[in-house]
Amino acid sequence: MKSSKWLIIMIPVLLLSGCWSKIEVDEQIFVFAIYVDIGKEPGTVEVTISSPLPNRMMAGQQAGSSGANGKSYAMVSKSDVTIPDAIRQIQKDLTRRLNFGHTREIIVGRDYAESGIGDLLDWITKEHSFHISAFLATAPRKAREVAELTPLYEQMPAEVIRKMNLQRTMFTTSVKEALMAYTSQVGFGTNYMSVRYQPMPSENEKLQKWAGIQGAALYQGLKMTGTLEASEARALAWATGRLGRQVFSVTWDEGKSRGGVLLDQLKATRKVKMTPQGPQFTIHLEGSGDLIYSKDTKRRSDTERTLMIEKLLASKIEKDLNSAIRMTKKYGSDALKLGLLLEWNYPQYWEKIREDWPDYYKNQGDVVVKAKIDVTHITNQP
Amino acid sequence: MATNLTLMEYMKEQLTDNEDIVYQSFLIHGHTCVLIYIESIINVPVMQERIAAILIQESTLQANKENLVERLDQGTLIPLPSVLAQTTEDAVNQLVQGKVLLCLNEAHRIYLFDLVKYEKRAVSESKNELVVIGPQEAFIEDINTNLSLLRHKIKHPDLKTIRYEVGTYTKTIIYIVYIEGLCKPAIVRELDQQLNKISIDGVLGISYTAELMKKGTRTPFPQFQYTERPDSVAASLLEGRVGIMQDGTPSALLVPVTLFSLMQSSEDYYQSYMSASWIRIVRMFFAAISMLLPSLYVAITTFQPEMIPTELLVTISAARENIPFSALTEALIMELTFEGLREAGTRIPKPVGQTISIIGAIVIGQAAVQAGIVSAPMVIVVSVTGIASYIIPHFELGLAFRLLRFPLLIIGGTTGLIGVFITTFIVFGHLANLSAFGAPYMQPLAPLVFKDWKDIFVRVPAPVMKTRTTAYTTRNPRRQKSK
Repeated sequence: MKSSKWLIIMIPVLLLSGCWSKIEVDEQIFVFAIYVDIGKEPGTVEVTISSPLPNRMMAGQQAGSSGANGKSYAMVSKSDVTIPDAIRQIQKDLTRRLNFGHTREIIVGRDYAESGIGDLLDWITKEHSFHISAFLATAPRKAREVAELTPLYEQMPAEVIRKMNLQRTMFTTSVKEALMAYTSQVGFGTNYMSVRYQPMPSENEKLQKWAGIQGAALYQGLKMTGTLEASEARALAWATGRLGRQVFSVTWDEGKSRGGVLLDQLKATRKVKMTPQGPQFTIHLEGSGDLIYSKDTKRRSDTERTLMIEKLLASKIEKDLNSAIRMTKKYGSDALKLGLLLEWNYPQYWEKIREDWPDYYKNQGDVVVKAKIDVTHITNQP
Repeated sequence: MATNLTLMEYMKEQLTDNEDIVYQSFLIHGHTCVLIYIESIINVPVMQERIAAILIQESTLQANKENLVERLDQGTLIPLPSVLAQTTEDAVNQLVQGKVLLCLNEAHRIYLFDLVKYEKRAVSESKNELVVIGPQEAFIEDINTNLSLLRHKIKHPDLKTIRYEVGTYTKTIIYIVYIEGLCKPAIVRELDQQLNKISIDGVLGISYTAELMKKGTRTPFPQFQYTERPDSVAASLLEGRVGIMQDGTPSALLVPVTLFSLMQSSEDYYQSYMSASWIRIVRMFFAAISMLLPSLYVAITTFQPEMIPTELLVTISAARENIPFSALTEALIMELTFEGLREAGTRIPKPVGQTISIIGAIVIGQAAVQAGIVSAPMVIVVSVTGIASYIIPHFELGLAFRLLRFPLLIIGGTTGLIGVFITTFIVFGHLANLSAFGAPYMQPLAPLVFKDWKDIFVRVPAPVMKTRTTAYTTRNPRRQKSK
């Protein structure tokens, strides 16, 4: 009885095991990034996946785009009516199983973004190994073009895009944010990439694709509604609270004197207050940093100059953010997620205007911006 | 005593075909006295000086001729202690154990003098339990020397030594040593019972006795702790444990044993407490590694590659690209090869030893990876595991972990991480359930006794170690008197 008792206990454990469904690492393709575009025929989507080729990587090889046998990463694209169909088409042609457990980047093309990314978000929530912490970015034309960029310091293009997001030069939007925004009637902003040709000395002066971030793409709900330029995008990114180190410069004396400041502690606090006319939002931006450049024609004293720079910088940033907010209103996108702030503080009011929030924001949203800059280090000498 | 044969004839009959026995006969005052002994196992000079010389001298004296036998009985003739043999079988048994027999034929008496002296080696350094600072001497095969080494450390009348004789042909002497007042009397009673129950033709090593005493739990984990250092034995006795020492074996057994006492080494107590604590933590970590690392590696790369950081995953995939075997098969091949190498290494004669180790390293490490039979990360995993299994101070516990590694590896490769976790739980449950000779195996972790944690994962400085561990004793817990 004792031994058969153990046998009975072990049967469910053995059934839970996966020994007949195990897949070795070298029978899988780990997709690092996917790129979604509108297909050539109307009503279709084109999906491109990018993944490393371990068989072309020799152990100990350093970063570089081409090894002895060719590039060590690969891209495959297919189009079909829906995204899962397109993925199935891709899988059909491949010898290994696709594994989305390591996908960290999603780039959508502009056309696709303007027509709505609902399908994409839906598929992501249902794909079981997909992390919703993957980064989301928008490409200016076709997402595929971004995929073809030349990685200079990293091994693959997907790695390049991921590290760009991690450095927090602009936005760090994740799929989770997009999903939250969709369910609560607010919007979000993503990085808006730029792709151009540029001769590169390391590739023998050939013209190669070089990708960068040129601004922000604004979304409301599931659709992309507009773009912002770099300075406004930066201010908006600061206001959403996750900007890394930035350099700002200001001019005075009719452009004859300049100063540049490196701000590395960038904070934003948002508050809402109910007034008889409706909610009033206040955004405080705070930053502190080091003075890295100054050319003063009038040779003012250090304290006077620093004070002036701080004031000028604060007003510049306020102007940038005000202009950014005006643009978001024009495009109807609540990229600052002020709706969520309202919901948190005044839930009954939110319930009333929830359905009309995009219109309300566009026409009546009242946002006040205040900025404060501290220049703490003026020189690097004691 | 024999009736119709004379005593000498009876003895000679029982001792035929033993040609190394010496019979030395004297005629003293009309009595025929024969000294019977085996020359190779007695202390010949003492015998010649104290017995033979005196008897010869006695035969020349004229006084006290009549009461020779009384004087021998009272012990006033020969300055060595003597015992009267009860039967001739008894006498013969004592003869082969190294006693010198003095047979008085007419008086029908046999006196036994204890002059046993076996060949033994000198007390040498401990080979298996090395310390850098601290006593270096180790037990040898002779039980009296071992007892003297032990009594050198503990000089208190409460140190009790109880003698047993086990084995019908080997008649091995076994001593149980303990400090009365510190150990639990139940353990001594239990051991007494077990030793008296043993009836076997011979015990040649203390592990035979240990196995005969085991109470029938089937477990790969050791139930006894072996040690070859007298200071370990002394320290354990002071903690309240009981030691078993056997003639002919240079190791002593200590009972009861807990898992954590098997993970301690005497070195910990002779180094500063900070270094000793660090080394203990490293030791615990590597003990866990020696059991779990191969199975975790196989389970994670096969079933859960999402858990691995991305760049490491790319490296591992690149390394595993052209390997024809699955991860589990690769791991099993490497582990079995390593085990074979290890066993061969313990038996290689010294002149060939170096060559074989070089061949092993080159063949397995380099060539197998370059030929594409195993991948480089697997070689790393297996070597780290192999090294980790030697970090455990007591060899028998390391063997237990080594044994458990294989089922864990197979389970990890077939059922993934969940199988590994379930099996580890089962192992823990089994360990927590074990208790030999009254002390639970996992004390003070299970049952939880926080007072004893000062000596488990770290070693607190000596002034702080004021109480004895409660695993072995509950009496007399205070070790130091507070001033």
